[in-house]
Amino acid sequence: MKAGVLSKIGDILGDFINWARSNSIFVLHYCTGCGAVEISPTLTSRYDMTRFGIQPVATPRQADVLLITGYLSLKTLKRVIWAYEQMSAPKYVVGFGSCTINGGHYWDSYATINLLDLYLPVDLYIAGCMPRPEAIIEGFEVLKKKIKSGEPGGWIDYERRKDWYKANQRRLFGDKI
Amino acid sequence: MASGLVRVALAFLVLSFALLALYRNICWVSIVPAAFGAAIVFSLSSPLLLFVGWEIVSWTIFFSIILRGSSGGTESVPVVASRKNVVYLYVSFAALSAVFMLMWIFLSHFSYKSPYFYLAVVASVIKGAIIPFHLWLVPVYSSMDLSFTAFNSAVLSKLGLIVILLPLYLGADYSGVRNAVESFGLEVNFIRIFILLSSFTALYAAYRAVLTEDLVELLSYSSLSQVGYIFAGAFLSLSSGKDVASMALNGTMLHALNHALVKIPFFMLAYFVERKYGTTSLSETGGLYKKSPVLFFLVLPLAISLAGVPPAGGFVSKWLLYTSMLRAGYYVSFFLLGVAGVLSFLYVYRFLHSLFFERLKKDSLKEDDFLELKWHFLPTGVASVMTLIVGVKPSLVTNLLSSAIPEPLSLNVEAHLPTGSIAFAFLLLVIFSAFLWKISADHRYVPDTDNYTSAAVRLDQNPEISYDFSYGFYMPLKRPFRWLCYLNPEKLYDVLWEYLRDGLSYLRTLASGRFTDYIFYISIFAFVMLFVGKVFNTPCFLMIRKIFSFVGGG
Amino acid sequence: MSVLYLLYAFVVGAFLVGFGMKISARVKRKYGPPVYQPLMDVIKLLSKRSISHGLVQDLGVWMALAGSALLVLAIPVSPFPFINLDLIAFVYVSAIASLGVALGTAQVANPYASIGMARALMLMLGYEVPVLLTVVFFYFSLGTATLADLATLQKEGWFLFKYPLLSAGYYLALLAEMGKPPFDVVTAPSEIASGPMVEYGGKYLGFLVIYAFFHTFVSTALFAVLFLGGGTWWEVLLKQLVLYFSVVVVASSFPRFVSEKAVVYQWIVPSLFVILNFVVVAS
Repeated sequence: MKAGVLSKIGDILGDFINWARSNSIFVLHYCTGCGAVEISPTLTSRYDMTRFGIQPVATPRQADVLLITGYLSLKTLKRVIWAYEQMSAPKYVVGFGSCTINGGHYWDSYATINLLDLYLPVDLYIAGCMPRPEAIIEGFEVLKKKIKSGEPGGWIDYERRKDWYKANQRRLFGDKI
Repeated sequence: MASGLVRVALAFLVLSFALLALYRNICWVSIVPAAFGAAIVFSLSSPLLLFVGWEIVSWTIFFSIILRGSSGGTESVPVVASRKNVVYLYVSFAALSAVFMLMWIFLSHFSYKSPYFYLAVVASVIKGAIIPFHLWLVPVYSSMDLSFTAFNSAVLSKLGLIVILLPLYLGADYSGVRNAVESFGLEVNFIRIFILLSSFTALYAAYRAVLTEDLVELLSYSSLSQVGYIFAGAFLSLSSGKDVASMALNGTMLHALNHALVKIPFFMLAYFVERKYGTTSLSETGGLYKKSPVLFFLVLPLAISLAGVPPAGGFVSKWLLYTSMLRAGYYVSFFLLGVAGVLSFLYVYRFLHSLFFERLKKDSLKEDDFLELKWHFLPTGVASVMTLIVGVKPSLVTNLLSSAIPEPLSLNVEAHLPTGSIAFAFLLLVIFSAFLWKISADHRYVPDTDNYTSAAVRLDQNPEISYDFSYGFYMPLKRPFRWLCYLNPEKLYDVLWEYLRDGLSYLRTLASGRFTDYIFYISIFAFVMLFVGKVFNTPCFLMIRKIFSFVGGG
Repeated sequence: MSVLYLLYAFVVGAFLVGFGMKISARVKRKYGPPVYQPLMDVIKLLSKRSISHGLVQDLGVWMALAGSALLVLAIPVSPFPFINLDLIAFVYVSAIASLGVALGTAQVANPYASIGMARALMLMLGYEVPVLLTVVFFYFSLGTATLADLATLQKEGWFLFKYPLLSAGYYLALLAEMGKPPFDVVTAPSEIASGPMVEYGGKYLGFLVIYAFFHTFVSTALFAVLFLGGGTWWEVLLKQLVLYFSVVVVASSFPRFVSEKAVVYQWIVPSLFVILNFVVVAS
């Protein structure tokens, strides 16, 4: 009986914490590709992302969400992986734009990657080239629902299948990762 | 007379550090005669004996500058030559203070109470390195063996303090401090100038300490700044009514104690750094926290005390000095001291950051080089504990210092400043924060090569890249005052010297050999004499006559 | 009772910061986050894992939180117990919290953090000058600078109206003390990656956010006690709200001063106001 009450309190507390987490999302203001041009209007007066609790921060140590905006060249991917590993759990990756889904219109380039999910565990894709601020906000609403439900994010997958991810990364960079 | 329990404890600290340097060199040779001389001065037995002790100390410092480096260090000729300049500098200032002391002793016929006490005050001010006599302090501290500098800055810089406070110790009348002081022939207006000068010394020295790039210079300017505080408090306790004087005197004594407690371990640490790292430049030292975290936590209360932050002792003494200065009405001096206090926080942070936490690039130092750091633990620990006691329960310490603070001027500090409740509340809150930290989500420790910017240069694979901010730490503070650098007080002394050397050569041009020029000069002289005859009875002329008569007749 | 005071200060600080974000957004014609957003941030941060560079960073964060909570306990708000300090002691007690942040920053071997801390300390040098002159003025004209005495001395008239120039000078110093634009060179978001907080994540950042709540409460309450008459807790709360509203509106309208210019500005302009105040009162 007592264990039941305690676990119920634990559940309520867990739900409350998940609700708080979903309402306060710190996005790393790291503009990797040309999709970044849509972040600024979403953040500022016209579309105002902050009323949903989404705020930009400057360093990966403080961030929850890593926003991969657009195409990822190999150079940038190396740094993005370091930034991702410097973030602390729970962390989410949002792939933004069609370049992260299937390469977009750089699909046959020698310098960019075609599928982000091979190298980093992506939690959400927002399709478009590039997605308008309304689409971004809708995408973040889906992410918020996911966080609120307490579903484990891609970071657990990264920890569990680290070798697989590292193997993919090593295929790109050799051993200099 | 002022050698209470506290001075004994200080001597213990110093001697335990002297043991460190025993195997090394002349530290023993310098400390013992200097301590002897200081003890003679502090015993305040007779003016001539005071002068003897004064001079023993001066000569010990003089010899220690010369004899430094005879331990087998290979020093280049320019270094030895520059040390000679420091010796001349020190000898000139020491001689100046000795001249004033001698004038006082002979003019007052070997007794303490006479109208010429102001000469002794001037001598102490020169010895205590108040502006404009501050030039000798920093070069002398940097050229001496740093273990002796520890003793010098902790104890010997306070010699002048005792002489200034003579009216309080030997004046018979405590019903009003002012009566005691005036029976010694000192006027309050004369003292006001010295309060202002001491406060300005505190500010100037703190400013130089903030901007310097050298560890020993930082500590020496910090010493000068705290000595400015102490002298300001001492002069203040001479010049005001009884309640302000008691606060000021307690503040002065506590500050002298705190300063000694802080500077001895810090200079010994600088001695260690100089020997092991080979350099004392702030941008090249670092990494001491990793070598011994215990030392950092022992040094932390001392650093907090130097900055004047509660709950360490420096806060209590600085607060007493500030409040007494405000209550006595010396607002400009308070302002100068206050800004100096804020500046001390700046340079203390720089000291901690550069010495303990910067990443050491060329880690060519061997592990056993740092084994002797363990010898520093006990004395530093004793000093930290004493500082914390002063900060939390100052009344314990003021009771111990009762031989330095005459009975009518004693003060219950805790009636004015709730140090105990501050410390207690702070401790509880720290425990609560630690508890909150523990129950929050967990954390992992990462090495300091893994920071947000380091990934770009792969600091974990190339640790010898210099990637920290350590040079020019407070550079923006230099820029507003760049125009002041053109006013260099050292240059003033150079100009004065040149004028004295060359100025008199102008007189040679007067000897032109022509008879008419000589008639002209004699007539000008006669006219001036006539004019002087007209002002024969002014006070200015009478004073000139008085000076001539002492020099002539005694 | 002190625990209640700290909880009260926490909640008031959180809502002040929340109101501040909302007002600053409305000034820029945005909607802004909900007013309980800072509480959400704190809960999220405390439940997030983090990294630490060593024991000194942990200790620094504890000292920062403890120091700012200690400051809360020193402000005389009527039904709560307080430590009886005067303004000089208050300034030095506020240095404990700065020291805590400084220690945490020292252990973090990131050059951005060191630059941020150097700027923070220089800015502290800047705004302490008008604060010291304010202390001098209080001793000169009133003979005391104890916070409780100053609060009771304002029964016949607030110092805001009796000494308007002094209040104006202290208001400018308050902007610098709270780190609001145009004096936000310390965190400088797009310049040095949030300055001293660059390596703080998870619960460390949470602690710094709580420190920010207490700091906001303390700065506004201090101004309320010194110049707006102090009083019981709801009077102080109203005054804090109005004061913080004005601070946020002013802060939203200005770009940032360079660190050197911020320091020199703080030395000249607020000090001039206080000195003019001296001249006016003495004549």
